[in-house]
Amino acid sequence: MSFDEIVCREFAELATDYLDGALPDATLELVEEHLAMCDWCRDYLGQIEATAAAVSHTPAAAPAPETLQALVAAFRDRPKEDRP
Amino acid sequence: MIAYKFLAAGGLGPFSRYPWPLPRPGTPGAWVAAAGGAMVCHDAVHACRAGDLPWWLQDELWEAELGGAVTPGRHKVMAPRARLLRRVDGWGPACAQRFADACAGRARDHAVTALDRAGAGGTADALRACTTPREIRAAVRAGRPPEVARIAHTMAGDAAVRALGGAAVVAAYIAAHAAARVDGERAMDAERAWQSDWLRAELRLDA
Amino acid sequence: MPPGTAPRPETRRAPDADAHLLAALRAGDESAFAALVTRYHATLKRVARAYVSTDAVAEEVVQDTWLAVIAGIDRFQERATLKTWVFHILVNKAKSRGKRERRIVPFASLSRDDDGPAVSADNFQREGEAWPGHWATPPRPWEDPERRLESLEARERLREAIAALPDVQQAVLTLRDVEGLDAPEVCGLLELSDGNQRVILHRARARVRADLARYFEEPA
Repeated sequence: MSFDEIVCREFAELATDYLDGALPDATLELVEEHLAMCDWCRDYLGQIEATAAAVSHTPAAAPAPETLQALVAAFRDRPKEDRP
Repeated sequence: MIAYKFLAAGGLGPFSRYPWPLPRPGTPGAWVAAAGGAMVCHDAVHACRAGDLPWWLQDELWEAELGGAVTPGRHKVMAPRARLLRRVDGWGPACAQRFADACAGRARDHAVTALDRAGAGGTADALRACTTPREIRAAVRAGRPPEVARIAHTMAGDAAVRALGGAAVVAAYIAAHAAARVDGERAMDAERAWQSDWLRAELRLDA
Repeated sequence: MPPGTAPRPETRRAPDADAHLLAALRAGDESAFAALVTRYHATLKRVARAYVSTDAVAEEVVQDTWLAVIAGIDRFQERATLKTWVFHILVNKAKSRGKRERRIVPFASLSRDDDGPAVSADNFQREGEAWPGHWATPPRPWEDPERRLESLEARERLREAIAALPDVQQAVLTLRDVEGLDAPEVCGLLELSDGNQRVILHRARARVRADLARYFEEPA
């Protein structure tokens, strides 16, 4: 017997689609019904959100100082175009 | 059209966390229009008919008026705008607990049916004698169902556990699936209808 | 934690946050250029790495990109943002270099489920159990994740988790979640369909989530 519903295993693949608002309406309805009753999937969704947020706060690694210096030197030495 | 809305504590949309304008004595809450923006999903306000309630149980239940063309969804209705009219005071943690316990009892009933049909009278009687979710949980743990009734038996235990945790919407889901497990998909619809009738009677809803 | 609607990463930059840099760059402001390089170097390298065979080659591609930015800054026509322009230069150079290396795996071929589902089937009940497809081992709730993720140790684990991702997943995760580019921008840059881009992003996030979950479960 299969039911017209989305179960946890399917939602676990759709969490980012849901967060992006990219689910087609028919799927979104099933996802919302599932989330209304599944605290585990709500936890999973929250953890995906928290992960994305944590990633967004990851500081960028700085370029090696000698690389940066060399690039700044190239910038300094660039041929200037004539300006009107 | 009059319909119902479940909101999280504080009058917040359960998915959107949108703070719904609440009614004051004699004055409905302000109209909320779907803007397709942050507060509503796919361009409509959602609400329940009485038959839809079991799917959406949340902290607070409100009676709402819908404006504009109303479109039926799977287990909800959608409209361009809505406003809250009054809180359905009968719904709260105590009512949710009674409902959860009732659903656990129903899941137990379906398991008993399966066990009787399988000729497992002893296990069936042990479950039949239970009067609370705690007793159902204990009976399921101790029971030795035949294979053909194993899953229905397990489901009765799951419903009892969830009822003990106050998880009304999950207990209702389990009871609906237990009905289907034992008597097919039509029985699931009938179980959901039983659930909404229970809520409608308990909360004295008109719609 | 209740589900949200489509949230934006909090550090999402306004489309033209770098516009003020352009005038400074044209005026020869070295510190503005240094700031630009510092800001984007690591991300450019992650994206390049998805096209070429080694970190060293990716580094070369990024340096070539900066040289092209220097050479082109006066002629940049502002049809796109400065940031988009820089990323496009990078992708073009990375693709060319990747082709010269005859690196065989272009982005487009990663549309298939090579990697398996984001969450392994082991986590869910199977047919014959009471609840097929439902969590068998549900995710453990995270207590106070924002605060716990602020620790140096957590940040290092997070950095390691990202670095351990397949290159393509790192690239998409970086562009979407670190840089805050939206889906159409990333699809345009990497020539991915919307669906593919999202599958890759989700797999990346799911892996990092799993790493963080393991970290949270370690004894303090």
